[in-house]
Amino acid sequence: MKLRSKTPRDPWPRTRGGFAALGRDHLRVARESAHFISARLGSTLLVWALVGIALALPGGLFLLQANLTAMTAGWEGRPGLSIYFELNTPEETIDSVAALVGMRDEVESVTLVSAAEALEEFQRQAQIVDALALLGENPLPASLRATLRLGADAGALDALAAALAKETGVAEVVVERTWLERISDISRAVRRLGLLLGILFGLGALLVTATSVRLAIETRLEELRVLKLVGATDAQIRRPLLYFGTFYGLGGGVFAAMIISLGLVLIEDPLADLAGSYGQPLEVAAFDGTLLLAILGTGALLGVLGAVLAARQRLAGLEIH
Amino acid sequence: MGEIEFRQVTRRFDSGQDALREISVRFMEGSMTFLTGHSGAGKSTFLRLLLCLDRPTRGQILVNGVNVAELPQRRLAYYRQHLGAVFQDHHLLAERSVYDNVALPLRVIGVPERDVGRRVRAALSLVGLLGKEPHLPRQLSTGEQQRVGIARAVVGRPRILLADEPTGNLDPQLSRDVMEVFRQFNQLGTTVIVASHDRELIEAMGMPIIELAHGAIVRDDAAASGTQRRGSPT
Repeated sequence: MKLRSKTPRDPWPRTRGGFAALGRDHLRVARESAHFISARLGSTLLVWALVGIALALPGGLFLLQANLTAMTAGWEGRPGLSIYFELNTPEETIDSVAALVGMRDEVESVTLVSAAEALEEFQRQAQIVDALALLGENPLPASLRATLRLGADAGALDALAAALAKETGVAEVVVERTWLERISDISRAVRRLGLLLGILFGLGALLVTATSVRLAIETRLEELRVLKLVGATDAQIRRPLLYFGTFYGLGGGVFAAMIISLGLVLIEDPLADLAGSYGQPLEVAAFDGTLLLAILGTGALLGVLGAVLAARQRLAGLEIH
Repeated sequence: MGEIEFRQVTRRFDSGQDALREISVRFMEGSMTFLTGHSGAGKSTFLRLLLCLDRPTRGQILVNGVNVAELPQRRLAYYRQHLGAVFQDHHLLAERSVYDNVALPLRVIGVPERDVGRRVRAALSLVGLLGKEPHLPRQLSTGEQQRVGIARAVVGRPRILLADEPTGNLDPQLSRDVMEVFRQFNQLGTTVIVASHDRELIEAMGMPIIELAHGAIVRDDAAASGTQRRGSPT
Protein backbone atom coordinates (compact mmCIF):
# COMPACT_ATOMS: atom_id res chain seq x y z
CA MET A 1 0.00 0.00 0.00
CA LYS A 2 1.42 3.37 -1.03
CA LEU A 3 0.56 6.86 0.00
CA ARG A 4 0.28 9.11 -2.98
CA SER A 5 0.02 12.83 -2.58
CA LYS A 6 -1.66 14.91 -5.26
CA THR A 7 0.11 18.04 -4.13
CA PRO A 8 3.19 18.39 -1.94
CA ARG A 9 1.04 19.92 0.80
CA ASP A 10 -1.81 17.44 0.66
CA PRO A 11 -2.45 16.65 4.33
CA TRP A 12 -4.73 13.72 3.48
CA PRO A 13 -3.03 11.70 0.81
CA ARG A 14 -5.10 9.19 -1.04
CA THR A 15 -4.37 5.73 0.22
CA ARG A 16 -3.86 3.46 -2.76
CA GLY A 17 -3.62 -0.26 -2.77
CA GLY A 18 -3.06 -0.42 -6.54
CA PHE A 19 -4.86 -2.55 -9.10
CA ALA A 20 -4.57 -5.65 -6.94
CA ALA A 21 -6.53 -3.96 -4.16
CA LEU A 22 -9.08 -2.68 -6.65
CA GLY A 23 -9.48 -6.18 -8.08
CA ARG A 24 -9.83 -7.65 -4.59
CA ASP A 25 -12.45 -5.06 -3.71
CA HIS A 26 -14.44 -5.75 -6.89
CA LEU A 27 -14.31 -9.47 -6.21
CA ARG A 28 -15.45 -9.04 -2.62
CA VAL A 29 -18.21 -6.59 -3.53
CA ALA A 30 -19.41 -8.84 -6.39
CA ARG A 31 -19.54 -11.81 -4.02
CA GLU A 32 -21.41 -9.83 -1.36
CA SER A 33 -23.83 -8.42 -3.92
CA ALA A 34 -24.54 -11.88 -5.33
CA HIS A 35 -25.14 -13.11 -1.79
CA PHE A 36 -27.45 -10.15 -1.11
CA ILE A 37 -29.69 -10.75 -4.10
CA SER A 38 -29.69 -14.55 -3.72
CA ALA A 39 -30.78 -14.12 -0.11
CA ARG A 40 -33.87 -12.33 -1.46
CA LEU A 41 -34.63 -14.87 -4.15
CA GLY A 42 -38.38 -14.21 -4.34
CA SER A 43 -38.07 -10.54 -5.21
CA THR A 44 -34.98 -11.23 -7.34
CA LEU A 45 -36.91 -13.73 -9.49
CA LEU A 46 -39.67 -11.18 -9.89
CA VAL A 47 -37.18 -8.55 -11.09
CA TRP A 48 -35.55 -11.06 -13.46
CA ALA A 49 -38.96 -12.01 -14.87
CA LEU A 50 -39.95 -8.37 -15.41
CA VAL A 51 -36.66 -7.45 -17.05
CA GLY A 52 -36.78 -10.71 -19.02
CA ILE A 53 -40.22 -9.94 -20.44
CA ALA A 54 -39.15 -6.40 -21.26
CA LEU A 55 -36.14 -7.73 -23.19
CA ALA A 56 -37.84 -10.76 -24.75
CA LEU A 57 -40.45 -8.89 -26.77
CA PRO A 58 -38.07 -6.61 -28.71
CA GLY A 59 -35.59 -9.51 -28.87
CA GLY A 60 -38.24 -11.78 -30.36
CA LEU A 61 -39.26 -9.13 -32.86
CA PHE A 62 -35.63 -8.70 -33.85
CA LEU A 63 -35.46 -12.43 -34.43
CA LEU A 64 -38.61 -12.34 -36.54
CA GLN A 65 -37.29 -9.42 -38.55
CA ALA A 66 -33.93 -11.12 -39.05
CA ASN A 67 -35.67 -14.25 -40.32
CA LEU A 68 -37.92 -12.33 -42.68
CA THR A 69 -34.86 -10.55 -44.03
CA ALA A 70 -33.06 -13.87 -44.43
CA MET A 71 -36.10 -15.28 -46.20
CA THR A 72 -36.35 -12.40 -48.68
CA ALA A 73 -32.57 -12.37 -49.11
CA GLY A 74 -32.76 -15.99 -50.24
CA TRP A 75 -35.26 -15.06 -52.93
CA GLU A 76 -33.82 -11.71 -53.83
CA GLY A 77 -32.42 -11.64 -57.35
CA ARG A 78 -34.58 -14.63 -58.31
CA PRO A 79 -38.03 -13.25 -58.60
CA GLY A 80 -40.12 -14.74 -61.31
CA LEU A 81 -43.33 -14.81 -63.29
CA SER A 82 -46.10 -17.35 -63.53
CA ILE A 83 -48.02 -17.05 -66.78
CA TYR A 84 -51.38 -18.79 -66.76
CA PHE A 85 -53.08 -19.55 -70.09
CA GLU A 86 -56.72 -19.76 -70.90
CA LEU A 87 -58.16 -23.26 -70.97
CA ASN A 88 -57.54 -25.19 -74.17
CA THR A 89 -54.97 -22.71 -75.47
CA PRO A 90 -53.21 -24.30 -78.45
CA GLU A 91 -49.71 -25.63 -77.84
CA GLU A 92 -48.33 -23.39 -80.60
CA THR A 93 -49.53 -20.30 -78.76
CA ILE A 94 -47.97 -21.53 -75.54
CA ASP A 95 -44.72 -22.33 -77.31
CA SER A 96 -44.60 -18.93 -78.92
CA VAL A 97 -45.12 -17.17 -75.58
CA ALA A 98 -42.46 -19.44 -74.02
CA ALA A 99 -40.08 -18.52 -76.84
CA LEU A 100 -40.86 -14.84 -76.35
CA VAL A 101 -40.10 -15.06 -72.65
CA GLY A 102 -37.01 -17.22 -73.18
CA MET A 103 -35.50 -14.67 -75.53
CA ARG A 104 -35.32 -12.03 -72.82
CA ASP A 105 -31.77 -11.53 -71.47
CA GLU A 106 -32.87 -11.24 -67.86
CA VAL A 107 -34.73 -14.58 -67.97
CA GLU A 108 -32.67 -17.54 -66.88
CA SER A 109 -35.11 -20.32 -67.49
CA VAL A 110 -38.65 -20.98 -68.63
CA THR A 111 -40.49 -24.06 -67.47
CA LEU A 112 -43.72 -25.27 -69.00
CA VAL A 113 -46.30 -26.88 -66.77
CA SER A 114 -48.87 -28.40 -69.07
CA ALA A 115 -52.53 -28.74 -68.10
CA ALA A 116 -52.00 -32.48 -67.64
CA GLU A 117 -48.96 -31.91 -65.39
CA ALA A 118 -50.89 -29.34 -63.35
CA LEU A 119 -53.67 -31.87 -62.85
CA GLU A 120 -51.18 -34.54 -61.78
CA GLU A 121 -49.66 -32.11 -59.28
CA PHE A 122 -53.16 -31.26 -58.00
CA GLN A 123 -54.04 -34.94 -57.61
CA ARG A 124 -50.81 -35.58 -55.74
CA GLN A 125 -51.31 -32.69 -53.33
CA ALA A 126 -55.02 -33.32 -52.83
CA GLN A 127 -54.42 -37.08 -52.66
CA ILE A 128 -57.12 -37.73 -55.26
CA VAL A 129 -56.61 -40.80 -57.41
CA ASP A 130 -58.72 -39.95 -60.47
CA ALA A 131 -59.78 -36.31 -60.54
CA LEU A 132 -60.92 -36.46 -64.13
CA ALA A 133 -63.56 -39.02 -63.24
CA LEU A 134 -64.86 -36.61 -60.61
CA LEU A 135 -64.55 -33.37 -62.56
CA GLY A 136 -65.38 -34.59 -66.03
CA GLU A 137 -62.67 -32.43 -67.61
CA ASN A 138 -59.36 -30.85 -66.58
CA PRO A 139 -60.17 -27.42 -65.15
CA LEU A 140 -56.50 -26.40 -64.78
CA PRO A 141 -54.73 -24.29 -67.36
CA ALA A 142 -51.24 -24.73 -68.69
CA SER A 143 -48.70 -22.29 -67.26
CA LEU A 144 -45.18 -21.05 -67.69
CA ARG A 145 -42.79 -20.36 -64.86
CA ALA A 146 -40.06 -17.89 -65.71
CA THR A 147 -37.13 -17.29 -63.37
CA LEU A 148 -34.89 -14.23 -63.67
CA ARG A 149 -31.11 -14.42 -63.65
CA LEU A 150 -29.28 -13.60 -60.39
CA GLY A 151 -28.73 -9.87 -60.16
CA ALA A 152 -31.09 -9.11 -63.01
CA ASP A 153 -33.15 -5.95 -62.80
CA ALA A 154 -36.26 -7.02 -60.96
CA GLY A 155 -38.03 -3.88 -62.13
CA ALA A 156 -38.03 -5.31 -65.66
CA LEU A 157 -40.53 -7.89 -64.44
CA ASP A 158 -43.34 -5.38 -64.40
CA ALA A 159 -42.76 -4.36 -67.99
CA LEU A 160 -42.47 -7.99 -69.08
CA ALA A 161 -45.63 -8.94 -67.18
CA ALA A 162 -47.57 -6.07 -68.75
CA ALA A 163 -46.41 -7.08 -72.23
CA LEU A 164 -47.22 -10.77 -71.69
CA ALA A 165 -50.68 -10.02 -70.33
CA LYS A 166 -51.58 -8.66 -73.81
CA GLU A 167 -50.50 -11.83 -75.60
CA THR A 168 -53.15 -14.08 -77.12
CA GLY A 169 -54.19 -16.96 -74.84
CA VAL A 170 -52.68 -15.47 -71.69
CA ALA A 171 -55.27 -15.35 -68.90
CA GLU A 172 -53.19 -14.03 -66.03
CA VAL A 173 -49.62 -13.07 -65.20
CA VAL A 174 -48.58 -13.31 -61.56
CA VAL A 175 -45.51 -11.36 -60.57
CA GLU A 176 -43.98 -13.25 -57.67
CA ARG A 177 -42.02 -10.22 -56.60
CA THR A 178 -45.23 -8.91 -55.06
CA TRP A 179 -44.86 -11.45 -52.29
CA LEU A 180 -41.32 -10.41 -51.80
CA GLU A 181 -42.35 -6.82 -51.50
CA ARG A 182 -45.02 -7.73 -48.98
CA ILE A 183 -42.55 -9.68 -46.89
CA SER A 184 -40.06 -6.86 -47.21
CA ASP A 185 -42.72 -4.36 -46.09
CA ILE A 186 -43.65 -6.60 -43.16
CA SER A 187 -39.97 -6.93 -42.30
CA ARG A 188 -39.55 -3.15 -42.27
CA ALA A 189 -42.68 -2.73 -40.14
CA VAL A 190 -41.47 -5.40 -37.72
CA ARG A 191 -38.08 -3.70 -37.51
CA ARG A 192 -39.66 -0.34 -36.67
CA LEU A 193 -42.07 -1.94 -34.22
CA GLY A 194 -39.15 -3.79 -32.64
CA LEU A 195 -37.19 -0.56 -32.36
CA LEU A 196 -40.12 1.25 -30.80
CA LEU A 197 -40.87 -1.59 -28.40
CA GLY A 198 -37.15 -1.93 -27.71
CA ILE A 199 -36.99 1.68 -26.59
CA LEU A 200 -40.20 1.49 -24.56
CA PHE A 201 -39.49 -1.86 -22.96
CA GLY A 202 -35.82 -0.96 -22.50
CA LEU A 203 -36.99 2.07 -20.58
CA GLY A 204 -39.25 -0.23 -18.62
CA ALA A 205 -36.35 -2.57 -17.82
CA LEU A 206 -34.28 0.45 -16.80
CA LEU A 207 -36.99 1.62 -14.41
CA VAL A 208 -37.48 -1.89 -13.00
CA THR A 209 -33.77 -2.22 -12.20
CA ALA A 210 -33.60 1.37 -10.94
CA THR A 211 -36.51 0.71 -8.59
CA SER A 212 -35.04 -2.60 -7.44
CA VAL A 213 -31.65 -1.03 -6.79
CA ARG A 214 -33.39 1.82 -5.02
CA LEU A 215 -35.08 -0.73 -2.73
CA ALA A 216 -31.70 -2.38 -2.17
CA ILE A 217 -30.27 1.02 -1.24
CA GLU A 218 -33.06 1.55 1.28
CA THR A 219 -32.33 -1.78 2.96
CA ARG A 220 -28.59 -1.01 3.04
CA LEU A 221 -28.85 2.66 3.89
CA GLU A 222 -27.14 2.25 7.24
CA GLU A 223 -24.25 0.39 5.62
CA LEU A 224 -23.84 3.11 3.00
CA ARG A 225 -23.84 5.75 5.73
CA VAL A 226 -21.17 3.89 7.67
CA LEU A 227 -19.12 3.44 4.49
CA LYS A 228 -19.28 7.19 3.93
CA LEU A 229 -18.32 7.78 7.53
CA VAL A 230 -15.18 5.66 7.33
CA GLY A 231 -14.01 7.42 4.19
CA ALA A 232 -15.35 5.37 1.31
CA THR A 233 -15.26 7.29 -1.95
CA ASP A 234 -18.40 7.80 -4.01
CA ALA A 235 -17.17 5.11 -6.39
CA GLN A 236 -16.80 2.63 -3.52
CA ILE A 237 -20.27 3.47 -2.21
CA ARG A 238 -21.79 3.05 -5.68
CA ARG A 239 -19.89 -0.16 -6.47
CA PRO A 240 -22.21 -2.70 -4.78
CA LEU A 241 -25.21 -0.93 -6.32
CA LEU A 242 -23.74 -1.26 -9.79
CA TYR A 243 -23.20 -4.95 -9.17
CA PHE A 244 -26.86 -5.25 -8.10
CA GLY A 245 -27.90 -3.61 -11.34
CA THR A 246 -25.59 -5.83 -13.38
CA PHE A 247 -26.89 -9.01 -11.75
CA TYR A 248 -30.52 -7.92 -12.13
CA GLY A 249 -29.90 -7.09 -15.79
CA LEU A 250 -27.94 -10.28 -16.54
CA GLY A 251 -30.57 -12.42 -14.85
CA GLY A 252 -33.24 -10.60 -16.85
CA GLY A 253 -31.24 -11.35 -20.01
CA VAL A 254 -31.16 -15.06 -19.18
CA PHE A 255 -34.92 -14.96 -18.59
CA ALA A 256 -35.41 -13.18 -21.93
CA ALA A 257 -33.37 -15.86 -23.75
CA MET A 258 -35.48 -18.55 -22.06
CA ILE A 259 -38.73 -16.80 -23.05
CA ILE A 260 -37.58 -16.45 -26.68
CA SER A 261 -36.48 -20.11 -26.78
CA LEU A 262 -39.82 -21.19 -25.35
CA GLY A 263 -41.63 -19.01 -27.90
CA LEU A 264 -39.65 -20.59 -30.72
CA VAL A 265 -40.49 -24.09 -29.51
CA LEU A 266 -44.19 -23.17 -29.41
CA ILE A 267 -44.33 -21.67 -32.93
CA GLU A 268 -41.84 -24.01 -34.56
CA ASP A 269 -44.47 -26.40 -36.05
CA PRO A 270 -46.78 -23.78 -37.57
CA LEU A 271 -43.74 -21.92 -38.91
CA ALA A 272 -42.36 -25.10 -40.45
CA ASP A 273 -45.73 -25.66 -42.16
CA LEU A 274 -45.77 -22.09 -43.46
CA ALA A 275 -42.21 -22.27 -44.76
CA GLY A 276 -42.93 -25.69 -46.26
CA SER A 277 -45.90 -24.32 -48.19
CA TYR A 278 -43.45 -22.01 -50.00
CA GLY A 279 -41.04 -24.88 -50.51
CA GLN A 280 -38.61 -23.49 -47.96
CA PRO A 281 -37.07 -25.52 -45.15
CA LEU A 282 -37.46 -23.95 -41.68
CA GLU A 283 -34.13 -22.59 -40.56
CA VAL A 284 -34.38 -20.12 -37.71
CA ALA A 285 -31.72 -17.52 -38.42
CA ALA A 286 -29.98 -15.22 -35.93
CA PHE A 287 -30.82 -17.13 -32.72
CA ASP A 288 -27.19 -17.80 -31.98
CA GLY A 289 -24.45 -16.95 -29.53
CA THR A 290 -24.23 -13.41 -30.81
CA LEU A 291 -27.92 -12.73 -30.14
CA LEU A 292 -27.63 -14.37 -26.73
CA LEU A 293 -24.61 -12.19 -25.89
CA ALA A 294 -26.47 -9.14 -27.20
CA ILE A 295 -29.47 -9.89 -24.96
CA LEU A 296 -27.26 -10.49 -21.92
CA GLY A 297 -25.16 -7.41 -22.69
CA THR A 298 -28.24 -5.25 -23.17
CA GLY A 299 -29.66 -6.57 -19.91
CA ALA A 300 -26.44 -5.87 -18.04
CA LEU A 301 -26.15 -2.41 -19.58
CA LEU A 302 -29.73 -1.49 -18.70
CA GLY A 303 -29.14 -2.87 -15.20
CA VAL A 304 -26.04 -0.74 -14.72
CA LEU A 305 -27.80 2.35 -16.09
CA GLY A 306 -30.74 1.71 -13.76
CA ALA A 307 -28.36 1.37 -10.84
CA VAL A 308 -26.56 4.58 -11.77
CA LEU A 309 -29.92 6.34 -11.95
CA ALA A 310 -31.00 5.01 -8.55
CA ALA A 311 -27.64 5.73 -6.93
CA ARG A 312 -27.54 9.27 -8.29
CA GLN A 313 -31.04 9.94 -7.01
CA ARG A 314 -30.71 8.39 -3.58
CA LEU A 315 -27.09 8.93 -2.62
CA ALA A 316 -26.86 12.60 -3.54
CA GLY A 317 -28.32 13.74 -0.26
CA LEU A 318 -27.27 10.82 1.93
CA GLU A 319 -27.16 12.20 5.44
CA ILE A 320 -25.23 10.66 8.30
CA HIS A 321 -27.12 11.16 11.53
CA MET B 1 -1.92 15.55 10.52
CA GLY B 2 -3.65 16.29 13.78
CA GLU B 3 -3.67 20.02 14.43
CA ILE B 4 -7.18 21.42 14.53
CA GLU B 5 -8.37 24.99 14.72
CA PHE B 6 -11.90 26.41 14.76
CA ARG B 7 -11.93 30.07 13.68
CA GLN B 8 -15.06 32.07 14.46
CA VAL B 9 -17.26 29.10 13.64
CA THR B 10 -21.02 29.58 13.73
CA ARG B 11 -23.59 26.95 12.84
CA ARG B 12 -27.10 28.30 12.51
CA PHE B 13 -29.92 25.88 11.80
CA ASP B 14 -32.76 26.64 9.38
CA SER B 15 -34.96 27.34 12.41
CA GLY B 16 -32.70 30.30 13.20
CA GLN B 17 -31.23 28.68 16.30
CA ASP B 18 -27.45 28.87 16.70
CA ALA B 19 -25.97 25.47 17.59
CA LEU B 20 -22.50 27.06 17.75
CA ARG B 21 -21.70 30.76 18.03
CA GLU B 22 -18.40 32.31 17.02
CA ILE B 23 -16.37 29.39 18.32
CA SER B 24 -12.59 29.81 18.21
CA VAL B 25 -10.46 27.08 19.65
CA ARG B 26 -7.25 25.24 18.84
CA PHE B 27 -6.15 21.64 19.41
CA MET B 28 -2.48 20.83 19.02
CA GLU B 29 -1.37 17.65 17.30
CA GLY B 30 -1.25 14.76 19.76
CA SER B 31 -3.50 16.43 22.32
CA MET B 32 -6.42 14.86 24.18
CA THR B 33 -9.35 17.08 25.12
CA PHE B 34 -12.79 16.57 26.60
CA LEU B 35 -15.72 18.51 25.27
CA THR B 36 -18.52 18.82 27.80
CA GLY B 37 -21.76 20.63 28.37
CA HIS B 38 -25.43 19.94 28.84
CA SER B 39 -27.59 18.30 26.22
CA GLY B 40 -28.03 20.75 23.33
CA ALA B 41 -24.90 22.72 24.24
CA GLY B 42 -23.37 22.06 20.80
CA LYS B 43 -20.99 19.15 21.48
CA SER B 44 -22.34 16.89 18.76
CA THR B 45 -22.55 19.75 16.25
CA PHE B 46 -18.90 20.53 17.02
CA LEU B 47 -17.85 16.96 16.20
CA ARG B 48 -20.13 16.72 13.16
CA LEU B 49 -18.53 19.84 11.74
CA LEU B 50 -15.10 18.33 12.29
CA LEU B 51 -16.21 15.13 10.55
CA CYS B 52 -17.65 17.26 7.73
CA LEU B 53 -21.07 15.70 8.24
CA ASP B 54 -22.32 19.26 8.45
CA ARG B 55 -21.00 22.62 7.21
CA PRO B 56 -20.57 25.77 9.29
CA THR B 57 -22.73 28.79 8.50
CA ARG B 58 -19.72 31.03 9.04
CA GLY B 59 -16.07 30.59 9.96
CA GLN B 60 -13.29 28.16 9.15
CA ILE B 61 -12.36 24.73 10.45
CA LEU B 62 -8.69 24.22 9.80
CA VAL B 63 -7.10 20.81 10.00
CA ASN B 64 -3.39 21.05 9.38
CA GLY B 65 -4.00 24.46 7.90
CA VAL B 66 -6.65 23.38 5.38
CA ASN B 67 -10.25 24.55 5.73
CA VAL B 68 -12.10 21.25 5.72
CA ALA B 69 -15.46 23.03 5.57
CA GLU B 70 -14.74 23.76 1.93
CA LEU B 71 -13.34 20.40 0.89
CA PRO B 72 -14.84 19.01 -2.30
CA GLN B 73 -16.74 15.72 -2.00
CA ARG B 74 -13.90 13.62 -3.43
CA ARG B 75 -11.26 14.87 -1.03
CA LEU B 76 -13.71 14.62 1.84
CA ALA B 77 -13.50 10.83 1.57
CA TYR B 78 -9.69 10.87 1.80
CA TYR B 79 -9.90 13.25 4.76
CA ARG B 80 -12.29 10.92 6.57
CA GLN B 81 -9.97 7.97 5.92
CA HIS B 82 -7.57 9.65 8.36
CA LEU B 83 -10.21 10.13 11.06
CA GLY B 84 -11.68 7.71 13.56
CA ALA B 85 -15.16 8.30 14.93
CA VAL B 86 -17.06 6.70 17.78
CA PHE B 87 -20.75 7.36 18.33
CA GLN B 88 -23.07 6.64 21.20
CA ASP B 89 -25.30 4.54 18.95
CA HIS B 90 -22.26 2.72 17.47
CA HIS B 91 -23.40 2.73 13.80
CA LEU B 92 -22.57 -0.99 13.55
CA LEU B 93 -23.84 -3.05 10.65
CA ALA B 94 -26.37 -5.49 12.08
CA GLU B 95 -25.96 -8.12 9.34
CA ARG B 96 -22.16 -8.14 9.45
CA SER B 97 -19.97 -9.97 11.92
CA VAL B 98 -17.82 -8.16 14.45
CA TYR B 99 -14.81 -8.95 12.24
CA ASP B 100 -16.41 -7.44 9.13
CA ASN B 101 -17.54 -4.37 11.04
CA VAL B 102 -14.07 -3.66 12.33
CA ALA B 103 -12.46 -4.51 8.98
CA LEU B 104 -14.59 -1.99 7.07
CA PRO B 105 -12.21 1.03 7.22
CA LEU B 106 -9.25 -1.18 6.23
CA ARG B 107 -11.09 -2.59 3.21
CA VAL B 108 -12.05 0.91 2.15
CA ILE B 109 -8.37 1.87 1.89
CA GLY B 110 -7.43 -1.41 0.20
CA VAL B 111 -5.40 -3.10 2.93
CA PRO B 112 -4.50 -6.68 1.87
CA GLU B 113 -6.76 -9.26 3.51
CA ARG B 114 -3.94 -10.95 5.45
CA ASP B 115 -3.07 -7.60 7.07
CA VAL B 116 -6.76 -6.90 7.66
CA GLY B 117 -7.01 -10.03 9.81
CA ARG B 118 -3.94 -9.13 11.85
CA ARG B 119 -5.02 -5.54 12.43
CA VAL B 120 -8.63 -6.42 13.22
CA ARG B 121 -7.50 -8.91 15.87
CA ALA B 122 -5.10 -6.33 17.32
CA ALA B 123 -7.89 -3.74 17.56
CA LEU B 124 -10.30 -6.24 19.11
CA SER B 125 -7.62 -7.31 21.55
CA LEU B 126 -7.17 -3.69 22.58
CA VAL B 127 -10.86 -3.38 23.50
CA GLY B 128 -10.99 -6.83 25.10
CA LEU B 129 -13.12 -8.52 22.45
CA LEU B 130 -10.66 -10.98 20.92
CA GLY B 131 -12.57 -14.17 20.13
CA LYS B 132 -15.81 -12.33 19.33
CA GLU B 133 -14.95 -11.98 15.63
CA PRO B 134 -17.69 -14.27 14.24
CA HIS B 135 -20.47 -12.79 16.40
CA LEU B 136 -23.14 -10.51 15.06
CA PRO B 137 -23.57 -7.19 16.90
CA ARG B 138 -26.97 -8.24 18.28
CA GLN B 139 -25.29 -11.16 20.01
CA LEU B 140 -23.20 -8.74 22.06
CA SER B 141 -24.07 -6.58 25.06
CA THR B 142 -24.43 -2.81 24.61
CA GLY B 143 -21.02 -2.27 26.17
CA GLU B 144 -19.42 -4.80 23.84
CA GLN B 145 -21.10 -3.18 20.85
CA GLN B 146 -19.68 0.16 21.92
CA ARG B 147 -16.21 -1.40 22.11
CA VAL B 148 -16.63 -2.86 18.61
CA GLY B 149 -17.37 0.71 17.47
CA ILE B 150 -14.17 1.86 19.16
CA ALA B 151 -12.17 -0.96 17.58
CA ARG B 152 -13.49 0.10 14.16
CA ALA B 153 -12.56 3.70 14.86
CA VAL B 154 -8.96 2.89 15.82
CA VAL B 155 -8.18 -0.02 13.50
CA GLY B 156 -7.07 2.33 10.70
CA ARG B 157 -4.63 4.09 13.08
CA PRO B 158 -6.26 7.48 12.57
CA ARG B 159 -4.40 10.72 13.25
CA ILE B 160 -7.53 12.20 14.80
CA LEU B 161 -9.98 10.28 16.96
CA LEU B 162 -13.39 11.79 17.71
CA ALA B 163 -15.86 10.29 20.13
CA ASP B 164 -19.41 11.49 20.78
CA GLU B 165 -20.71 10.26 24.14
CA PRO B 166 -18.79 6.98 23.84
CA THR B 167 -19.63 5.91 27.38
CA GLY B 168 -23.30 6.83 27.32
CA ASN B 169 -24.44 3.21 27.50
CA LEU B 170 -21.68 1.84 29.70
CA ASP B 171 -21.34 1.18 33.41
CA PRO B 172 -18.71 3.20 35.33
CA GLN B 173 -15.98 0.55 35.16
CA LEU B 174 -16.44 0.01 31.40
CA SER B 175 -16.51 3.77 30.93
CA ARG B 176 -13.12 4.09 32.62
CA ASP B 177 -11.77 1.24 30.48
CA VAL B 178 -12.95 2.92 27.30
CA MET B 179 -11.37 6.19 28.34
CA GLU B 180 -8.17 4.30 29.02
CA VAL B 181 -8.22 3.00 25.44
CA PHE B 182 -8.52 6.58 24.19
CA ARG B 183 -5.65 7.63 26.42
CA GLN B 184 -3.47 4.84 25.03
CA PHE B 185 -4.13 6.01 21.50
CA ASN B 186 -3.42 9.56 22.47
CA GLN B 187 -0.07 8.45 23.84
CA LEU B 188 0.73 7.04 20.39
CA GLY B 189 0.36 10.55 18.98
CA THR B 190 -3.31 10.56 17.97
CA THR B 191 -5.24 13.78 18.56
CA VAL B 192 -8.28 12.77 20.61
CA ILE B 193 -11.44 14.79 21.24
CA VAL B 194 -14.11 13.18 23.40
CA ALA B 195 -17.54 14.73 23.87
CA SER B 196 -19.15 13.61 27.12
CA HIS B 197 -21.61 14.98 29.63
CA ASP B 198 -20.21 12.67 32.33
CA ARG B 199 -18.44 15.40 34.26
CA GLU B 200 -17.26 13.09 37.07
CA LEU B 201 -15.59 10.74 34.60
CA ILE B 202 -13.80 13.41 32.61
CA GLU B 203 -12.66 15.32 35.67
CA ALA B 204 -11.14 12.06 36.90
CA MET B 205 -9.13 11.73 33.68
CA GLY B 206 -7.22 14.92 34.44
CA MET B 207 -7.27 16.15 30.83
CA PRO B 208 -8.02 19.64 29.47
CA ILE B 209 -11.73 20.36 29.20
CA ILE B 210 -13.72 22.64 26.94
CA GLU B 211 -17.19 23.38 28.18
CA LEU B 212 -19.95 24.53 25.87
CA ALA B 213 -23.22 26.19 26.85
CA HIS B 214 -25.81 27.37 24.33
CA GLY B 215 -23.29 27.05 21.51
CA ALA B 216 -20.56 29.15 23.14
CA ILE B 217 -17.37 28.19 24.98
CA VAL B 218 -17.71 28.93 28.69
CA ARG B 219 -14.59 27.09 29.82
CA ASP B 220 -11.33 26.35 28.04
CA ASP B 221 -8.68 24.92 30.36
CA ALA B 222 -5.80 25.32 27.95
CA ALA B 223 -6.67 28.92 27.10
CA ALA B 224 -7.13 29.76 30.79
CA SER B 225 -3.75 28.34 31.77
CA GLY B 226 -2.12 30.09 28.81
CA THR B 227 -0.67 26.83 27.60
CA GLN B 228 -1.18 25.15 24.34
CA ARG B 229 -3.18 21.95 24.38
CA ARG B 230 -0.40 19.56 23.61
CA GLY B 231 0.16 16.02 24.82
CA SER B 232 -1.58 14.62 27.83
CA PRO B 233 -0.68 13.67 31.37
CA THR B 234 -0.30 9.99 32.03
